[in-house]
Amino acid sequence: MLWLLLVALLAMLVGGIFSLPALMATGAVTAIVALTGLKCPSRFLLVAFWVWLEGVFLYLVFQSHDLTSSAFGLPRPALLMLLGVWLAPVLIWPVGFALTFKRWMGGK
Amino acid sequence: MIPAAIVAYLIFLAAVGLWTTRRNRGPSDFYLAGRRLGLLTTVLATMSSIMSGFVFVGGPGLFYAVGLGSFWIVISASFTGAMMCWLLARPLHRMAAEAGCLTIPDVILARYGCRVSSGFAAVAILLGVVGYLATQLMAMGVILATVLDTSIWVGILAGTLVLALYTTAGGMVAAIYTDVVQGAVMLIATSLIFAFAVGTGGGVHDISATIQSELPEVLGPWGLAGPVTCLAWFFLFAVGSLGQPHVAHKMMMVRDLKALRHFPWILAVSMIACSLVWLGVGSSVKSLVLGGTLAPLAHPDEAVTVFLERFAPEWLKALAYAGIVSAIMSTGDSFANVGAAVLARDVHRSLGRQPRDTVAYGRLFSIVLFGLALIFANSVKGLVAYAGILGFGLFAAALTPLLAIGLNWPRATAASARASLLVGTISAITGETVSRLGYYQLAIPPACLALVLSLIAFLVVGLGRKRHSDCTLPAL
Repeated sequence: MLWLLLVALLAMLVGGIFSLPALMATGAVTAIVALTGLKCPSRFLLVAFWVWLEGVFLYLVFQSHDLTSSAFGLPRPALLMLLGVWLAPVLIWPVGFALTFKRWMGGK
Repeated sequence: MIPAAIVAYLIFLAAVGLWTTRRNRGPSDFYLAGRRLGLLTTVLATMSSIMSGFVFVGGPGLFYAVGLGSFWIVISASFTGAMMCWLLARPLHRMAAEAGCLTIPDVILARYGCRVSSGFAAVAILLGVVGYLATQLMAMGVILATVLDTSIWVGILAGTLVLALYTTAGGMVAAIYTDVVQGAVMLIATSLIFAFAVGTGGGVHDISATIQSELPEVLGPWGLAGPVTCLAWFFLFAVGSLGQPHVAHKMMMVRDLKALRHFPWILAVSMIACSLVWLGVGSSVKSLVLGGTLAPLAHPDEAVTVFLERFAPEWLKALAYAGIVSAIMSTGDSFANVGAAVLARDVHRSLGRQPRDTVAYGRLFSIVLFGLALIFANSVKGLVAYAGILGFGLFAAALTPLLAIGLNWPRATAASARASLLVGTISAITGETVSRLGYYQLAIPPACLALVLSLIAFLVVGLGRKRHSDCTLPAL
């Protein structure tokens, strides 16, 4: 996990300095997952979080210009950002934390 | 009505603080609230200390200036609570219970066995706390001056008096009790302001249509800030939150780890509710200005005050100002306590002297800290906002690797800690200074760059060492 974290941070650094959003997005999500992987007791939660956020981020990076209106009259990427990055992660990690709490407490 | 309501609220907070004075029987009570926090108190105290006045004032202003992209600053609120529990809760709780740690520099000393790292962290915390506290006092001065129709300095002194009174008398016990009240006020205020702001703008659909017809980029996922800056904000606030001493400190105050089972999702829901004000007021004001109902703002930070003064009924204004004062004070009291602990304990120990481990010294150094913050606010007026920005970045870059990685990775050593502290502190201060002078050209904000460099330094030094290196990780 620590080598993955290091590689992800280096990707973020390169993406940030040379303004490469896709690399930066992948680096950021991977770094957060690798860091959390130091103590998160469930690989499923790590993978689910990574797949979900990576998918949403790549959509946002490549489709940010899409102005098609969707629910509430918001452009589709804006709606996806609010639902996918702001609200949905509650169901993955915080609820996942409660569900895997006994394993975490037991240190298994 | 509004001035009377705010004055009554301030008196109530001071009274709650003074009522808790008797509950301080020793340093553990004064700095860690006796380690008696349950689920709801931990949630409300954590939320209210994270959500400063910036969420009410700076957030809507930033939305007005750069659009939806500004929201990346708070968007990670939905999952940082889980990271906090997984990475920090157990080691910090155990170090407070078993090693007698009272402060974050205590934890660093116990973990790395290195007085230099602990002292360096104490100095970084002190610098950040004074800057941050000065920003909070200035913000409170501006709000109280508006509400009470007085000068900013009278507002600052009135707010400081109340804050200093309850923080000094009641320590962290008072801070927690008042945080619970303040957190509840914040939640009610933000929810009602959001609903009112959206209604005033004609509903989400109309707000969106007006903005899209005039300036559609504002509702793009990156707003006017650009993807790299937004992604950097996302990472900085998701990971950098783990290095904020006033937040990490709360994990040391929990009575029993079992209480934390539902902490992450309750914290997430309450922080999401709190950040609604950012979206609601920011988008509504932008739409009202673009639609010609409201004149363009002279300064983006006026978004919430202009909106309230122009559209809100008196009762909502009173509640909104109480919410803003609550947000500022609840962050300020946590900083004051963390700073007083550094002055009373950590600085002395770093100099090889006996820590001043009594409640009386805690109170004395609380007063000293407020004095330093007031002097700072007065002497470097134009730099107070800079100090506030620097504060978060400095905490994130200096402390996140030592706490989030170091407490969970046995191979991390004192050398990793020293390298990370040095790289993080220097790059955070240099980056923000160069940025303020106008020479910083990268899209990635300096605070995020400093955090990434500091994490890399920590890992490179740690991974470069052999496995039998001087590991001092307690049995966690």
